[in-house]
Formats: sequence, C-alpha cells, structure tokens
Amino acid sequence: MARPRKARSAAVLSLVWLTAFAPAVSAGEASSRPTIEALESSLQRRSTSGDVVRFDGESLQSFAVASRPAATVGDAGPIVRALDIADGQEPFDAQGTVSVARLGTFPVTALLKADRWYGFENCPPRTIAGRNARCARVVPKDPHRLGYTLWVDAEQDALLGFVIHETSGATLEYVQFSRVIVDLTERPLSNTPDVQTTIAVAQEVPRWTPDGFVLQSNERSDREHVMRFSDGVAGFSIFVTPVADSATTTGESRWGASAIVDRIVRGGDGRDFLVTLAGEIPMATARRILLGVQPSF
Amino acid sequence: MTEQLKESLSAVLDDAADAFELRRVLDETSRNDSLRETFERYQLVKSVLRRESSAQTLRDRVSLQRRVRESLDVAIPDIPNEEVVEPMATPPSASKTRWPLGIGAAAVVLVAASVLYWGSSGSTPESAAPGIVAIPPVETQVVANRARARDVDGSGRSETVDAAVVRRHERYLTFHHRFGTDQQPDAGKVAEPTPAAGTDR
Repeated sequence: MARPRKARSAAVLSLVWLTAFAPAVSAGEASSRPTIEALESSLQRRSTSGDVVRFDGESLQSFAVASRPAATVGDAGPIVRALDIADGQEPFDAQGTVSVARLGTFPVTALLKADRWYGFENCPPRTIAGRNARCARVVPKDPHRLGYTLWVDAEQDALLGFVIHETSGATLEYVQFSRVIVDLTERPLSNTPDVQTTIAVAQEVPRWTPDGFVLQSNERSDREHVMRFSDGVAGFSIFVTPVADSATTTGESRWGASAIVDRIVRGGDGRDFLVTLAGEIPMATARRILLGVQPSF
Repeated sequence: MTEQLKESLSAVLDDAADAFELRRVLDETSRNDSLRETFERYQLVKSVLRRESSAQTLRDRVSLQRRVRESLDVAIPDIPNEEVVEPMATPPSASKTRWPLGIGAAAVVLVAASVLYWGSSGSTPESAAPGIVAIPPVETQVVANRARARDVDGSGRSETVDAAVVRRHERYLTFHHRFGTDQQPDAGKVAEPTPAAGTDR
C-alpha cells in the first residue's frame, strides 16, 4: 500500500509543477498514422459509452455518453447528456455536447485525407479511465489550423480522449472518458466532406482563406448571408447581417476550441453590416479572414 | 502538510484508509482550515469524475466557484471603468470577460482533478504527464469596442465586460455547431432561424 501512495504524492508534486511551468510536450519521433488508421476502422466497428470529463479553459464539466440505438442509425453520433449545472442555473448548452460527441464521430477519415495540412506524430502512452492508451499527435503544418492530441485505446482502438491545441501548444479544450465501456457494434460513420468539393462561389467570399479550407455551404436570405468553410477536419462559418446602427458593439471571444470574431463593416452601397466568424481556427486566422470580407446585399 | 498526512489523506480519498488514518485525517481537518479546504476540493473533483451529480455536489461546486471568485476579486484592485478600448488597439491575448472564475476555478479544479485521476489510476507521473502538462488554464478572450474596460494588473492588459456580445456570440456558435464543422451541409439544419434575428447591441 505504501508504494502507490508515495507514487501518488510524487505525482501530486510533479503535476503541480508541470501544470504551472512545463512547456508543451515535445513531439514524438515516429508517425502516428497507423494509430489513426486503426482508430478510423474502430469508429465503424465499436462504440463507446460512459462518463466524460471536459475542460474548456474555464470550467470542468461532466457528461454521460450513451451509444445511439440502432433505430436512429441515420445519425452515427452518440447521445450526450450534460450532468453539470453551470453556476447552479442552467444546464450546459450545446457547446460541450458537440465537443463530447466527437469522441464517437471524430472526422478521422477526413483527417487522413488532409495530410497535406496536418502531420502525424507519436507521443508517449498513458492511462485513461484505467485503460492503456496510445497517443497520436496531429500537428498542423501552417499556423491557421488547430492541433489535436488523440488518445486511442491500445486494445480496442477506440477514442478515449482528445486535446485541442492552439498553435502555440496551449490547450484550448480537453475531453476524456473517466469511465468507459467499449462495445462491438456495426454502425455507420458520419459523412465527411471531400475537401476538394466547392459549391457556387459566393459574392462575399473573403479575399483570403487558409489553404485547404473550401466553401461547403452558401445560404443567402434577405436578412443574412451564411457561408461555411471546412478543411475536412475543422470548419468556420461567416455570417453577414445588415445592421441599422453602426454603433452595434462587437468583440472577440473564445469558447474552448471555438473562436468568434465580429466586426461592423461598411458595404459598397454605404450600408453597415455585422460580419461574424465562428469556427475552430486560431483567433489570429479568424481576424485575418474577416478583414477580407466585403459585404454587398 | 506532512508527507504522512498527505498519504493518509490520499488513503481516505481512495477509501483505503484504516481506522487510525481516518481518525487522524478527521482530527487534522477539524483543526486545520487549509487542510479541510483541500480535502473538500479533492472530494468535489472526485465526485465529478465519479459522476456523482447530487444536489449537494452541485451546491458544493457552485460554492467552490464562488469562493474562488471571491478570493480573486479581493486580489484585483477596483479601478474605475473609464477606458474605451478599440478592438485593433488591444493586445490579442488581452481581455477576459469571465477571467476571475475561469482561470482560478480551472486551475484549482484541473490540478485537483489531475491528482485524483492519477491517484485512482495508479499510474506514475511519467506515464501520465503528457496529456496534462500542456494544459495551462486557457483565457477566455473578449475584446469589445465601445465597451467599458479597466487595466487589470497594470500591464496594459484590459478586461471588458459586455454581456450582450457574449450572448450574441453564444447564439452564433450554437448555430455554427448545429451545422457541424466537419460535416456536409444539411439543408434542414441551415433552414433554422439564424442569430441575425436577435442581434444585440
């Protein structure tokens, strides 16, 4: 009994120090592509359920994850239920649920196709929810994408957790099982886009987007224009809305891995527009994209 | 806190303490406020990881957040909000709407969660470290123009509070996520009302 307790005490001291001072973990040496390929296969053959802990940079939240019944086979994602109550008032909204659902729907196939934009590196294994996990680091090849660390079950190849990193290596979002059940089940993967597919070019497409992000959706009404871009792994949406008053307050915020930036921009016709970008990209990239949007209704 | 007491505390949290250790921890926590607070934090995070979401746990969690917020509020000088910040003039990493609760609570809870997690899994720090060592508490950034701001720590970093912007951003984010960042467009989803209907000032 004594030795594990001493180990725990050492872990306590190490973690306090590491959490405060240590830099991002250095990259591994070999490619983690085989681990990610195994995960791709596993997502079709296995489902995971249990309890999940999520840290979004502000708070620690817990969720219950259940496998989706076969009757709703059209949607491959798991059922996620938030267990926490934010500030004792409201149940957590969709933001955390979307993140946790990625444990069952991570766009692995798209990730493997997007190796022009992402590199794959090994990292040291660890234990998650009492199971041995291999580590695969997904490193963006330019500063306009976020990075990922994936924890894959060493025996069943199921996704046990992931971390989303800022380009600096800082953690934006952390999701992992604290208790997990891995089931053998045939279920379809969610659709992933062909990143080479573009649709009709929108008039207001930003003058600049990072390489690899292509227009996936272009919806226009008389009160809003919404464009969505994706590199297959991450995506962002741009909303263009006419506003009556240029004094509308704008700002920037980050919600876990998601960045939101909005600006008031004067269109060519002299009207003012609220232009908002929301997506899982670095804040600096979001700002730069937004600078190139010229509204015109 | 002595090493022996740490081990006893660890044993109690793992439900592995004998009667002597349990009595020792209870005696110490009744005399030592700092130890009692540590014990409460550890218990709280342990309950989160074990999915114990009773009303008492939730009250404890809110209470913990409130205490952290209060302790941080004391440390921040009360400077009048007079400065007007334009977005491009503000350092990118500057402002945080939810800073007091966010950084403090995140640091406390994450460290405690890490302790409990590895304590219960029995893994060594070397094998466990990679997932956590790169997790400094992350700032939530909000920089708003025409918003009241204050210099939080004298370094030129400013804090802005504009709840309307945060609420609007949350709606946009929900709509963005509803579409799915990594999935094909779904006409049924994009047909739903967009955040434009409720643009805040």
